[in-house]
Amino acid sequence: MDPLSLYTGAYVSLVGIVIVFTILSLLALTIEVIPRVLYRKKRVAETREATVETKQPTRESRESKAILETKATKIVKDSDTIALVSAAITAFNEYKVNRLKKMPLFKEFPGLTRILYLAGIRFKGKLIVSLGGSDKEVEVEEIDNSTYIVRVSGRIYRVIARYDLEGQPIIVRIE
Amino acid sequence: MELDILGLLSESIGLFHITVGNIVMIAVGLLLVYLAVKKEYEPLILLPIGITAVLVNLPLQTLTEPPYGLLFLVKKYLIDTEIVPLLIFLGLGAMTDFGPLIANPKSLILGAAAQLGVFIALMTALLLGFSVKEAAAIGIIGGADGPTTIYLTVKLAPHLLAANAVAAYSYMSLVPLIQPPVIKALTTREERLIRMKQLRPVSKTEKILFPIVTMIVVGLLVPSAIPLIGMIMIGNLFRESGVVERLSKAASEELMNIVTIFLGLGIGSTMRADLFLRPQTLMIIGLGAVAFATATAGGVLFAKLINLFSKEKINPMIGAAGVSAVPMSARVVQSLASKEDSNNYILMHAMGPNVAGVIGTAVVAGVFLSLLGGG
Repeated sequence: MDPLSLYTGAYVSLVGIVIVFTILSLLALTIEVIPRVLYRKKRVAETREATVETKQPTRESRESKAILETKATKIVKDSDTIALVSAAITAFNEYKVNRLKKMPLFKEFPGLTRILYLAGIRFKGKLIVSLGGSDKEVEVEEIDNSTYIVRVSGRIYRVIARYDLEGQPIIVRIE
Repeated sequence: MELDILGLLSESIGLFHITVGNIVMIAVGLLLVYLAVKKEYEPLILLPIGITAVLVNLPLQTLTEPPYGLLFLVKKYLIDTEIVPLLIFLGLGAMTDFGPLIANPKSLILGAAAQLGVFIALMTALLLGFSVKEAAAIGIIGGADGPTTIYLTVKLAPHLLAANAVAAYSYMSLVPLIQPPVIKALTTREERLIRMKQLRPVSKTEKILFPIVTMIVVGLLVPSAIPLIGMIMIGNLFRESGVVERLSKAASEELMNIVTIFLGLGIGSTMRADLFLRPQTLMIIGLGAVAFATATAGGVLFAKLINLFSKEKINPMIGAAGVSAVPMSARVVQSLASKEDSNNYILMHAMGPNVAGVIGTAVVAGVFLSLLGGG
């Protein structure tokens, strides 16, 4: 046993312990800081977005928004049109379900017909709707599960519908 | 004429040349094969080492003979040049998930604490008469990291390669036997019952940044650890980037398998009776046990120390996983926790110090190389 070796060993051990703890502590600190920096940036970005959203609209923007809304949406209140559109959508849905039921998958899981739009599959159909003794040709295009574009007599309506417990559409809004 | 034939036969038949040392080493090799096959103790490495040890102890074999013996070439060009241990580190990086460590950076300190065993084994080796370089190479066994042990031993004490490698891998496989008594002796039941809250999820960005940051931080402070840390982090970046799946798969599977074969052959080739059967070997085997036990103790005691100052208590058993032996020691910790409370899941918490131990051991190896001038 050489005293010099022992001294060197003790020195190496001491320095080694100090270095290994220092480096791994530094690394731990760095790792601790990284997510904070990353998430802080994200939080700052989110706060900025929120600020933009909650900013009070100026008089000018309020006015222009009002004009836009008036142009875009004119709610239909005519009861004949509402009845015609409702009948068209009901017929369209029945037609769609009857067609799809021929496929075993949809026969077993009819609920799937409601989510086909999620896969980008949209249905469109031309129907003859009899209402009040007169037949009208109606074109229905499904946008998503509750939104339809209905073309009738050269007019285009955007229809938002909900469904009752039996699955029948309840027209919420026709524009 | 007849006499000549007999002479020739006696010269060319190995049986006439076998020594007691050869027989002992063949028995040792077969024991390693038995442990690998029957007990499944680190079979990937102990099986090739064991069977190669048998092979090289058959008299008159030429596999280890220079200049063209296969095993000679493997050792000279793949082990002595450090190619194999470094490529194994690359593969390890591609196989390792540092997520638990990133989620709980405190784990790194536990990984550092478990290196205590390395220094205690080093001092003990010095007391037993080994030189400083030999003692450092023996001490690193306590890091429970085979490739690092081989890397450092080749640089500091190449004549101890076989003994160190066999000790490191044997004890790694014996972790389930070595660690539990040490952990139990140093912890109370209440401590073993401590539950830890679930780790936070780690984002992909953090996982990608981790190897880059670690490589730079460690590389700037301990340049001699760059080969080991650099390779493991490159492998890990392959894995976490998600854009080089083929490279990650190649590093963690094909390359890893190939270099493991070469490692086994290379280490096994050094287990010749004349090189291995020395009193030093027995001392190294004994010191390996000391290193593993004290490393385990270091991790556990430091975890208890953290608990003294921390509001959120950690289960001190996870400190034991700071000895690298991935994922064996983390599993041992989980199994002990389950024995106390079947609903206590601390495996992922233990994985943090476990992978931190790999980094810690590589840093210690780098420090030894810097101070002792191995490279």
